[in-house]
Amino acid sequence: MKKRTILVVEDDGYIADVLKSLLEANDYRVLSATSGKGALQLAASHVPDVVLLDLGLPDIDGTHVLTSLREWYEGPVIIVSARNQEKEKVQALDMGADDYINKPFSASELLARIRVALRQADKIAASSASPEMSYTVGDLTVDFQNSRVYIAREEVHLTRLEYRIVELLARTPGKVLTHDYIISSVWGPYAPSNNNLILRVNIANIRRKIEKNHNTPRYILAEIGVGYRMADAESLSGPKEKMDS
Amino acid sequence: MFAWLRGMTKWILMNRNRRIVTIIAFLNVLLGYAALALFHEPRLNILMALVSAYAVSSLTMERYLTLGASCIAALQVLLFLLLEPALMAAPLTNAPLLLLITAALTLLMMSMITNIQQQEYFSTIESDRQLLYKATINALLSARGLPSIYSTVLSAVSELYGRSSVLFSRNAEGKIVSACRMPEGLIIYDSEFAAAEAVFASGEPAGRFLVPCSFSPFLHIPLKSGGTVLAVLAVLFADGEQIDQKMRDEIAGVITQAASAIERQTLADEQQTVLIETERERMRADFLRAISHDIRSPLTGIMSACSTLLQSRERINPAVRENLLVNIHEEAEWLCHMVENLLSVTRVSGPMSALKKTPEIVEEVIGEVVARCAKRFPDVHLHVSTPEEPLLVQMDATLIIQVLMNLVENAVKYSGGCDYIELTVTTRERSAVFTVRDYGVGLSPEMIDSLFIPINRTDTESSHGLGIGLSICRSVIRAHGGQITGANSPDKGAIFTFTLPMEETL
Repeated sequence: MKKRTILVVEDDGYIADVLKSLLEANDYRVLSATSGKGALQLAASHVPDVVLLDLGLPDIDGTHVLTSLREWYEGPVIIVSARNQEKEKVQALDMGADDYINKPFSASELLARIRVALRQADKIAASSASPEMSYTVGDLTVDFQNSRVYIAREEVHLTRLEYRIVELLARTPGKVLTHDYIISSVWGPYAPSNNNLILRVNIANIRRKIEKNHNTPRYILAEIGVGYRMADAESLSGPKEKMDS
Repeated sequence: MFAWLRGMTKWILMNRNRRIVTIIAFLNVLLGYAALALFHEPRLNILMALVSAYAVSSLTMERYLTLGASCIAALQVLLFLLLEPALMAAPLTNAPLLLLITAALTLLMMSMITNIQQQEYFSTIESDRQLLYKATINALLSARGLPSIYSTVLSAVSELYGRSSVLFSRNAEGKIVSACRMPEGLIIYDSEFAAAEAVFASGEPAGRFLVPCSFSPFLHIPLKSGGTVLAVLAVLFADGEQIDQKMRDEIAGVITQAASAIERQTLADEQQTVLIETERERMRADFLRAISHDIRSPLTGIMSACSTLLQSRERINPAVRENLLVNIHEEAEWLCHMVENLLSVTRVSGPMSALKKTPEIVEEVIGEVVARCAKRFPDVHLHVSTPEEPLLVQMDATLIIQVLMNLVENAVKYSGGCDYIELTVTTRERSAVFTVRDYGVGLSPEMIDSLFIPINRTDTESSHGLGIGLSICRSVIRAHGGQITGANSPDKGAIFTFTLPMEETL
């Protein structure tokens, strides 16, 4: 199989080196850019499979790089950002980033995110011809055709809104959807976007219906201050083993 | 004599009671005269006159009844002793004269007494005023805080002179604002601000009765200390009103006191700020000392491990090398958490607290803590319980997660090998109560006393960061308006509890 290409945009030389050696050790081809302009040039000439973008860049603002990139680039973009900067992350996600990872991150976490992003991209490429019929992870099955949700083959009764939230999340497993995005998709463009309570309450109710324990959710995962994501097969297996042990 | 009579008439006509009394007195006198003509009995007439005099005095001189009565008694004696023989000789011819004398004497007494009364009345007003003035001065001497000084001045103006007034002061940006107005709803036009500004600039009074800013219905008076104008007092005068010298002097007195009170307050405030600043400086130094100590030990560990690895390379046993790397990773991870904690402190206790409180569902926050714990402490079993209903609490989620992580981390590290930790959320009287409990060795008595103090840790060597972690927890929880406590469980282990106030929004 052809090696996947990853563009690493990171101005800190030391971290860039570490990332490069880590990714190369895991069979990726790595392109490194230390500035926004360089990143855009490299992306245009090589068309990488994944872009790993640090938002703090010396020349242009990382969000500008993201918007210029999104004008033509459709592959996954993963934002690298410090913790406590939820606003920045939400903004980047709303501007077209696919995922984010908090600095400092562990190697395994980063690799997992890259795998999820690549899988997602492959799936989009494959399913553009034939849309998916259902999504299954663990005991949860979301039947898109019949608008039904099953846990261990038993149907769960969700309200219309609840189902639409679940479907929205299940369409892009592993990807973080921001509160505002979910609200505008489910409630429509005129929903009060500054008030995401209604979404949270709905999620809390969904959890009580599909999760075994609402304190340790397995399927719908909250990213505090950012949004929600549907668990995919890989993220589900990780914590599950620990829970069982 | 004529002027006196006119004054008396005016005084009598001014009051309804007096008019009535006077009429009754005259009727009495007429009646007496009639009785004399009919019965030829002059004593009856004298008696009538005296009765009317009593009536007059008792009605007009409420407060001087005794004085009036004694005067009239003296008059009576005088009349009988001096006039009776003559009256007896020629009663009919002398009767009008007698009546005249009686009436004149009564009027004289009345006027004397009312004079005294009026003087007394005015002196009461005067002394009341003096008392009020003194009370104002005293209030100014003991007033604490600028707002209380301002309102004291304004209420003095209102009570002493019955005038509305405004106090203008400068705010932090040097803009003129009305710091206080009496009555509250007094409407002030923009031109008054301009006048006040002029007074601030010139340091001289302006407005009503004066040449500068004569358009203003307010008299603007500066409150000065040294050369600087501290505030401007503006007193409202109605059209056509005049100001006398006495009032000027009194207002000046109040102003002087107010100026010195304001000056005193400003000085005290400055001193207080300096004190707080020094205290803060001291705390900062203590904090820095404690942190530096805490940061140094893991750094030393990392550096020695690295230099060992660099020095010895292949000669080192792979298992040992692995161990060294794991140690480096752990120490670096700890440092990273430490720095995150410190960043939180700057967010909570900076000059402007950057607490980003949003309504959060508690179970999501707890879920995040569970996920992070599973990553950091894979061997620890964290048992979680939250209310069945989703609980909504206003909080800065990242900070609260950090507090919970700190508490769980402490429970893991200091419980002495306990791997079962309970994390419970309940509600109590409009607060969400978070409890982290372990079943380990518990806290020693001397630890309980100094749990949340960043320094004075009892165990400086074995374990790092307990004090700072907990002191950060406390500042975060306090910034949320909650409370945090640590104690030993009656049976086993330590219990840390914190509360967050809840609003009824769901």
